[in-house]
Amino acid sequence: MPKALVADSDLCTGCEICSNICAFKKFKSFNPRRARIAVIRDEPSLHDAPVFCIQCGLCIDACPNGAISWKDDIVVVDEEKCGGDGRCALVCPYGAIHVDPVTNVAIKCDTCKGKPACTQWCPQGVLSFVDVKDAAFYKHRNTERLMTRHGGDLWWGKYKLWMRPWYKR
Amino acid sequence: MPRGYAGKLLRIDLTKGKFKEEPLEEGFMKNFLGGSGFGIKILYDELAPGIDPMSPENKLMILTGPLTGTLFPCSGRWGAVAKSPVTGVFADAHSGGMFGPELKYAGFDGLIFEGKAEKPVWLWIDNGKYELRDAKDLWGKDSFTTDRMIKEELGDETIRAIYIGPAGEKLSKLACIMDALYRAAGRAGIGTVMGTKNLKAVAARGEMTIEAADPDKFEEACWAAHEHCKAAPISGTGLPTYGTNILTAVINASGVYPTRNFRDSGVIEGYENITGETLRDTILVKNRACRFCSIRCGRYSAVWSGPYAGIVGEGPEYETVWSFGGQTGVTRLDAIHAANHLCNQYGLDTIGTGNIIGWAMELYEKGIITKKDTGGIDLRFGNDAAMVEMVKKIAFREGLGDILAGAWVDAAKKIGKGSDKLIMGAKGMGLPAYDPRGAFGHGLAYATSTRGGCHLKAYLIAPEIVGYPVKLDPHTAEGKAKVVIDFQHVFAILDSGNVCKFTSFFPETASLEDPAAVLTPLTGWKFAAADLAKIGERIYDLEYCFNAREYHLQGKTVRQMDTLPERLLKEGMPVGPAKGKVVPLAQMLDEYYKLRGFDIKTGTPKPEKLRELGLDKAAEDMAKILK
Repeated sequence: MPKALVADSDLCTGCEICSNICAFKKFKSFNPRRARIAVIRDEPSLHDAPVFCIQCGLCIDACPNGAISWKDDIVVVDEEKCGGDGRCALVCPYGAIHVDPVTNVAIKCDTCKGKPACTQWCPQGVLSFVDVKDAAFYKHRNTERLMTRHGGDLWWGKYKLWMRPWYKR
Repeated sequence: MPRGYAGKLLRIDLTKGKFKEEPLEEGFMKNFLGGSGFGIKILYDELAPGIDPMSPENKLMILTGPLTGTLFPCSGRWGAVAKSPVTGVFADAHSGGMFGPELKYAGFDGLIFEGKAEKPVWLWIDNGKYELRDAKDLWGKDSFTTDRMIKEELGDETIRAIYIGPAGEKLSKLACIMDALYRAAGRAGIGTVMGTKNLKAVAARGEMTIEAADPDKFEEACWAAHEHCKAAPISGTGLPTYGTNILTAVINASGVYPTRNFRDSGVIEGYENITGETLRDTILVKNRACRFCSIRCGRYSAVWSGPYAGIVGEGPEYETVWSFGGQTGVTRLDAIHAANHLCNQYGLDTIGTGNIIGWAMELYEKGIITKKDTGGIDLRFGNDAAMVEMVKKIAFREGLGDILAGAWVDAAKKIGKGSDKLIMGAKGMGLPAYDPRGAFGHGLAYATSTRGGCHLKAYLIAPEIVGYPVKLDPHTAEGKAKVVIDFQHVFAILDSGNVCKFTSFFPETASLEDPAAVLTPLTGWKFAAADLAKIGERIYDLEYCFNAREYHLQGKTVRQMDTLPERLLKEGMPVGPAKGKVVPLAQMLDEYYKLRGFDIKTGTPKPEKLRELGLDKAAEDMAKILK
């Protein structure tokens, strides 16, 4: 059965170690901007969360060069064919695929060939790589959070936590 | 290009608005590593002795190190170096947060600010390009608003910035430089120097590539360090669970908690209300980490009810809990969190602000200042509303706050009437949250700290109270000098590699084995733990030389200034296990100078020792002073 990368984002502290190790594993250089996993740290609210590819395959049809395809239950980019024009980034609802600023080739999570480094390095145990049948639980929970939190302000008792009070948008 | 470094410094002449990129030389990197090491070398070589730290001649440096932004645990740090307006000597202040790695990714290991901008400006560094921008709109804004406005002006939420708040703009000597809203390079008035330069903020965004010389070995060594971090009880369990405030219970149980301006030190009654355990049970919402931190000691707290309801933000840390708690006699977490939050908002140093409010409270109780001076505030110990009100007054320099914002020495000059005798500071900077009468070695650490009263040049509380890495008897002077010196070298390395000092809570880094194992494959140069200790010694000795040069011009010796307040040397500890004890400083200082190879009578570094470390220019200067 295929495995899926999942997160329990309530545990995330926003340290970006996952992005750092991701960029290092793939490019042997330090820079979270070249990572395939991003950490949202939405100051000044208390919301920290990793964002990564869920291998949905939406980018496959968007690619004009046919560079993206399924391979062993993972969506992969053929670097030779990729023209770096970013159609994939256009359709991805999560921002999980983007064009690398240095090599100009689309990059996305390939789960490190079934051994994601981010799950190993995350100090909080936010990320895990689980069987798809177990993944459903994590996905349900994240969906629930999306619905309850992204609607607007988060309330804890009578106090607002999802705040933008200091500077009006 | 050297591996592990971005490879250049950016020098900014704010008076003329000119920039200069300076490549790093190999010898400079090998001998001084980065961060504080770079800072003291540049400051010693370039700053004329005796200049006014508030004048445009002072230089402000924002520096990173080779480990910054790498895979090493807790490597998301940066440091600021300048001549301190508080102590008048060398000052470095370090901060976590998000900015350090970003500066390196943007192409620079450090920034050197010179002169003074005519109008308020801020610096924008975008991937190797840089420009000074008008800070007309940002000026006067608090740190939270500044962060928001910078991100919106540039239209990118991933930009990382550091900035000063209103306190820094108004040249309060308790000002700090803030990063990621809640993290601060706090002490020694480093934010004041930024304010004197009319520099509001520095923002960076970078996509540059920084590489390791041997990536596979490097990753292996870093993973080992992460494992060590997780395995050690303090960094792996204690700090993540309870934050730095885990110490409140420990320090009170050992009877070294400074209470009410060190007057009633030992234990504070009702400390159970402000411990890390209570914090976790009451106001904690979640843990927050600095960038690339595997310890994640940061707290994100919210006050739900009472007069301070609705205050939500990071903190408070142990030192802050002490400064607004033990020092002012307020044992309420909600008031402490409120004061801490205001400090973050206005850009004030929490340790210094709390320390100086505690000092003012003692002056008030002694009748040296009265209700007329305080503007009607009843500044008694334990009055939480007065404490929070004073934070605001200090930030905006109103009434008594204006005097206190001048920091300890200047404030005591203005107040007079023997108020200087009650200053709990060293070299003019207020002490942090440990009473050395119950931990003698820590007293020596305070006295010999190059930036004044501070626990971050050597942390003897670890061996003396916590029992890490070995348990030492806190009530003896014997053998403490050696331990202090070793600590100072290790901390100089961590400040220069620019990683968090909490990494020293796992023994492999405290012995410098981990940094050596990581730096070798990172830079491609061979480092052993002993080499790093040598670099640490070079950095610390040069900091001492800088101070000796400044003090010599004022007709003082280093030894005269390496001292503690009279209260700690003469009045016995009031309560607790260390009752009746005083710090036997003179004895420890003798041993300290002897072991360091300094002149015992004056505390000046000896030229032959400095030449051995390759500090020829400093050796000449010290020879002149010793003559």
